[in-house]
Amino acid sequence: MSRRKPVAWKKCLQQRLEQYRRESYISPPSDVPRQDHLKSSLLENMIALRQQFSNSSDLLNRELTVCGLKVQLVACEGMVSLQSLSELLAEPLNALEGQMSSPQQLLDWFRGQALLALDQKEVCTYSQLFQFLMSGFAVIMADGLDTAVCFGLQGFNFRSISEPSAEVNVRGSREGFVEPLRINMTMIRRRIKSPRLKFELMTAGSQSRTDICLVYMTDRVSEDFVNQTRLRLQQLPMDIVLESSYLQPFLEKHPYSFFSGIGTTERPDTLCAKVAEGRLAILVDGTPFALILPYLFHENFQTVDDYTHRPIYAAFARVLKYLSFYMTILLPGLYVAVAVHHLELLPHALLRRVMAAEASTPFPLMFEALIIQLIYELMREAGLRLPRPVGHAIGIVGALVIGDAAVSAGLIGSPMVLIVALTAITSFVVPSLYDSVTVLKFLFILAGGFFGLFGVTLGMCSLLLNLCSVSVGGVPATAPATPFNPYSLRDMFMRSGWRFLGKYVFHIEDVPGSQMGDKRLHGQESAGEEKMDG
Amino acid sequence: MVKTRISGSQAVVLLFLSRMFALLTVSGGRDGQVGGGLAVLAALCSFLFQLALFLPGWLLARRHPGQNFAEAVTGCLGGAGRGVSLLLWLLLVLLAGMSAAEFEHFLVSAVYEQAPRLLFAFLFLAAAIYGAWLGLEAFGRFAYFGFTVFALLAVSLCFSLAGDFQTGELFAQTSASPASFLRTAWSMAAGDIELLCFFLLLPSLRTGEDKGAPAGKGLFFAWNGLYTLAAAGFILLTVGVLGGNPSTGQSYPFYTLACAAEGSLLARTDAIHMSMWGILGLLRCCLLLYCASIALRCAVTVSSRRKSLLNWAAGHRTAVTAFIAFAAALLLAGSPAALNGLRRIWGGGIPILCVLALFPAAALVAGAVRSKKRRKEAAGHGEAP
Repeated sequence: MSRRKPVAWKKCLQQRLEQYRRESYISPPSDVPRQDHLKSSLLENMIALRQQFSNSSDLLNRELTVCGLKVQLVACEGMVSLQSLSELLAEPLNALEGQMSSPQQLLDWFRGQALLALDQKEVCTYSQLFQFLMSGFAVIMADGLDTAVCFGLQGFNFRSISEPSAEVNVRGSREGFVEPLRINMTMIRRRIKSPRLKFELMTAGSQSRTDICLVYMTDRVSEDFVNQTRLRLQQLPMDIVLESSYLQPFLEKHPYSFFSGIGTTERPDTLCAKVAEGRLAILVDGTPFALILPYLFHENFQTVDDYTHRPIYAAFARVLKYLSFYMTILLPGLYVAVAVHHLELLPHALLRRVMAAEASTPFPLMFEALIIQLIYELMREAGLRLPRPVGHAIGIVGALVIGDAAVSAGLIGSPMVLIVALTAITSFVVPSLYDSVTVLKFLFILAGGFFGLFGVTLGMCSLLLNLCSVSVGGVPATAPATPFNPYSLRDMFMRSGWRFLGKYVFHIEDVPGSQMGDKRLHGQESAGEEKMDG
Repeated sequence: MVKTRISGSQAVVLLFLSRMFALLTVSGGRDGQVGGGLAVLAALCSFLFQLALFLPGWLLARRHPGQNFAEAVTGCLGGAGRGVSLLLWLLLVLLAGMSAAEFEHFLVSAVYEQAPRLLFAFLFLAAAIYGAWLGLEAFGRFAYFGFTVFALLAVSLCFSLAGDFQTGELFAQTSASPASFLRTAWSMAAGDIELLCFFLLLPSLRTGEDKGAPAGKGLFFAWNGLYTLAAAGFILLTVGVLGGNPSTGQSYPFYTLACAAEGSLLARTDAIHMSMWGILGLLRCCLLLYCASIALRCAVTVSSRRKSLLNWAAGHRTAVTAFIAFAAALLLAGSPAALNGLRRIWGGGIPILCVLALFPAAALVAGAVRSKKRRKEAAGHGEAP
């Protein structure tokens, strides 16, 4: 092994630093039309800016004279922190005294001698300029310069970090993602202090130009998968992207399936755990819901609390969740199927009670089940959208007035009310599957009502076939149940203790049936580094 | 593009369950077959017949690695091979339709006596076509769920019937002519269309051939061994609980067995047994339809220049296969006599003998003759200069 000379190291380091410094200048894409380039006349630039901005009221500009040079400070109202603007930009600019004789000297001062903001970019097209202006940057343009300098001085108001509403836990972190992307990035970085954690910023939506961020660990994620996802996001045929769910259908193989191979989370700790397993996460500016891909079906039944409780209780909770899921979709359908077509299945005591309850109701059982489920869904939807105090009133009306009155009037049998109430409770046990199970329970009522157990069986088989076809990035969503791997079962139906779980590092590409490439990004980068060093 | 592949264990489970459907569909009316404990022995002996049926196809697969049965036959026999592939497609589609019709026949005669006949066959086949359309990976994965349900129900059935088991019934018939014994064993092996499916799926299976393992030999022993044991166990249970000869005495003997069982929570378990049967039937139909589309792909190739019916069929393989299967299922469901006739022809074993012995043997001979000719030609070219 030959030892490298220290001089070569220094040279290499200097070249790298120079390269990083150059990267702060965003060169215009080659296919940008000529009219999109900034002009060297400040007046022309300002007129064009105002025109392209449709003279919108939220565009603020202020002309200054710095060392005899005409300079425009431009920002979007409410997006920039006024304190940072005055302390970091206005005061240093005012302090400049007669040292700059040309605009180029001013630009050099911005580039090399002044530390006005950590996030500083130079742009030379209007489209880039708008992108930064609307992301909360303050922009300085000088007469005689065809380049604008953007300073990251964002200061807009946003919701403070709070507990996630859809993923509440008993023990563990209470932090949930918030709407601004940068805050979410810091929450992840604080949890994984590894240089292998990479954030890759890009935009989505031709009009909204929403910031999105790919999050992955370069030494754990499959390179092919990252490239594939990046390409799909770059080719996104959307004008406006307001939420992460807008991206979801474009990343899935079967977007019309009942189940998805892409998960969502509001919790930074959950996201970090998934990223550490070699998955890819996508953060979208303006939403606290991050996407995780690929996502296995059984992960819908996992919560953070499973890993903080003792394994025995965690296993029990998992079984409860699986049971709830199957009860939600099958119980009403099975009840209708058995009570209409297969009464011989019921023991005599139960049969008598069911028959006595249903004999007094005027409607066919299937119709009764559909109506009462529909009423429940209506009440739930109404309670969800209304202000909280009114929502409670809806619940009371539903439970007492409609439920009790309908049974007393003999319109609905009490076993059916019991079934619906039970289904309503179980449907909330696995919230991430709520939308799927709501539709499915209606379909199973129809299948059971028309075709009995044959219909329910056929429906269940079709549903399972549908689930088995779901895969993202070549990873089957049903793994490790099918394709089966006993080794992976340590964290599926039950949860093994940390002593056992900690022994093995789980990688998503190791699940059985995975066709995800095992070429890692980090491997390639280190090869590149060796080449450069050499 | 990532090639569609399933693991060896998925294939074993899939083929095993598909074969189990054929066992559960056994109905009365088969004369001249042995009963009692001899039927159990015949089930075990049927493995040897299955092995004999497996060998020609396996030799062909070894000579043409990376090709499925239809591709290998087409490669060896040329135009005639295409005809064979078309015949295989027709047979598989017909069997898929027949399976749907058999299940419908059972449902209408045993469970839903007043239901419209054709509706069940239509729904059943529609679900199967959906599964086949989703692809091998989807229904290969689904097979694990099916296997879990099957295993749980089979174990619960055994437990609930253990008290009714009469050992004496096994020795009720201790002597039979060797011919009837062999006929019984052959009839158990004769319906093994899964062998053809296995050879058609072989390039899509992760059999470990990369590590030097012979193509799928282990899989054959795994799935057929498992099936033989399960079949022997089911026949043992049927004979021990119901007595007599399961193949002549009862219509749907295994269903009768389930009717006799009583669960601790439910009054009867026959409807659950029917659900299990439905799962197995669906898997079988998915498998047959998928394999049929593979055979059709080999029989007709798409050509963008020519406009012909065959060309159109090649472009719409799944749709054509689905349509013919629907037609077959609806025709057979509406005509029990035709269904019985087909059942007898298929159970006789001539079609499977043609498919698994005659065609591969012809392909092997044709391939050997062709390679000999090529060698001679090469030797002739070598001498000329």
